[in-house]
Amino acid sequence: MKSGKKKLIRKILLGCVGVGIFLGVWQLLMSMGVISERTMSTPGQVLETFIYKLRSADPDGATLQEHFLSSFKLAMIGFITAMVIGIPMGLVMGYFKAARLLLNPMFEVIRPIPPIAWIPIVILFLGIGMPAKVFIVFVAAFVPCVINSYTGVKLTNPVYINVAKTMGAGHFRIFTKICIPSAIPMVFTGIRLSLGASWSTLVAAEMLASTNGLGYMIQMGRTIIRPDIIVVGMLVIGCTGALLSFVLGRIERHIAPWRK
Amino acid sequence: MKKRLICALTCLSMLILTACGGSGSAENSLVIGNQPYTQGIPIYIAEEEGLYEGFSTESLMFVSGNTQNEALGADEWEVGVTGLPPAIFGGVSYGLKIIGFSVDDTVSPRFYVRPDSDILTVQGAVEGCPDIYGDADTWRGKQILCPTATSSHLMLAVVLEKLGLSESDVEIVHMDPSQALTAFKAGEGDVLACWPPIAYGVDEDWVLAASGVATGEQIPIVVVASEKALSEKRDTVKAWLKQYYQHCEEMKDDTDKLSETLETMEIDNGLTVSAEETRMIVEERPLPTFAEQAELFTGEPGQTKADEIVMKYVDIFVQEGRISESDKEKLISEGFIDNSLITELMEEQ
Repeated sequence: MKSGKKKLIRKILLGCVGVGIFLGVWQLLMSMGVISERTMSTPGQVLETFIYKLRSADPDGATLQEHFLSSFKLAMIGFITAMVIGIPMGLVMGYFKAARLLLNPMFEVIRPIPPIAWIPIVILFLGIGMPAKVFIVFVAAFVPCVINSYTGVKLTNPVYINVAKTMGAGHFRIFTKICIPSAIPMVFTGIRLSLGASWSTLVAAEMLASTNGLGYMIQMGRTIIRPDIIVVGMLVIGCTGALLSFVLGRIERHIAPWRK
Repeated sequence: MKKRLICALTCLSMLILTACGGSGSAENSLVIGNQPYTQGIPIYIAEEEGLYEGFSTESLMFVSGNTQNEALGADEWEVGVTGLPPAIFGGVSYGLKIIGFSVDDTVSPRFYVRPDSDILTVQGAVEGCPDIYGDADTWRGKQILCPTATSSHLMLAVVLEKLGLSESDVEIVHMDPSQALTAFKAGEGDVLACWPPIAYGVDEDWVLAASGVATGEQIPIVVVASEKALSEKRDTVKAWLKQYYQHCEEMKDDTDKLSETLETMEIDNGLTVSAEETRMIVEERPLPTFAEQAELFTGEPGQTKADEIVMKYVDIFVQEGRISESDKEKLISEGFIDNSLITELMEEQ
């Protein structure tokens, strides 16, 4: 127990030291003039802006909380929709040949299309509100869910399947009792990738039409030449993604405890 | 041996990194930040035909003021033409100076509504602006598709001010104008903000509910110079400014050449435009003359007509919270609108 606690403290400390070194190097490079103050803000300025944005809507029209909640809602709806549709689709495609033959051609066509390329079509069919932006995020998050779920099923040890068949198990039972549990680690990898894709597509989705959101805030920061606002937006996106990834790890540990 | 190799590679990397940076051109040369729009035509032609005398130039083309400002931050260009909003932000962050006006951009910002809009039920409510439709009640709460922090946005603020409204009374949805046009055609939004050539693609039954011209105000494209260029090669900047206006005056009546050049510039930079549209654009936005600059920039620094025009829009940005009051004070104290070159050129004539 004690050594477990020690390990946790060590883990946290090393993490903090790593972040501290990064911030220190950043500040040092700016103090030495290696990175110009014209093009970048110091860690102190970023912190000041972060605190300022918590209470002020200037200069981009909304407080940081308003931007965050708008983006969080958008990213989560897109991400969850992608999981709900993409994971079952990938699992089914992985086991049932008919499903693979039916769905794979369309999936392979859609897969390489960058989310941003969907914007003109999405405007025509879904307008400029939340559904349109959720669709852009969905497209980005959907692909990793499908691919990893599909691969997870394909990597199922054939010995298990053959043993099940020998025992008289039907396709559905093999699929649900052997293939799906076997695919869980890959499914969670897909979910993790999908989560990252959801957040990284935010900026593109909010280019469609925005009044707020972290992506909008970053774009405004770019327009009015406020690198501190850009960095605050980036850090909030990054930290939120990291936190969600941590939560996901905890859920995975609970559902698939056999995975190290 | 290994240590020497690592040391040599490190030194080489540092050398490359220090070499990568601003343009740092020679005293009698200039890097010009140009745009593929009417204001950039004289610069483009002068480069193509070798019309500049006394100095060499290199042009960088920027489709938007945002990317132009990013390059300015890296000292990639020294003089150029740009829209007023990016010039203001460039002035606040990088000490950019306005040294003259280029084409009058007032004709560009246009605000369209559909024929069934209630805005069209009222006309003439704004005193002195008979071509602005609607009143405070009909504009209030409207969803306006408009790219923020642009000339259109500034002019929208002027329209709202004339209606007795502010931005908080409407919903401004930030959109790229070509996407906004698509969305408006699909039934989204209540008001569409756009400019030519995108404005030439509006549906025939849409109505121009307000425009820059309708407000009676003026918004210019501006000629700018970096702080560094003005301090290190002022004479070259002055020579370039003089020749820019000379070229504008020589070319301004050759509509064929201007429209053909504009078409080439826009297509080369990935913009979709037709020959007919470029002709309309150059006819609507004539090139500036030096005499106009003399009138605008005559007077004590800070008290010229140019100052009055520009500071109106600086105040709008302060009201919107885009820049702070201290940013405005900084612009004033650092001489954002620099009439010294125009004044010297006037005295030399």
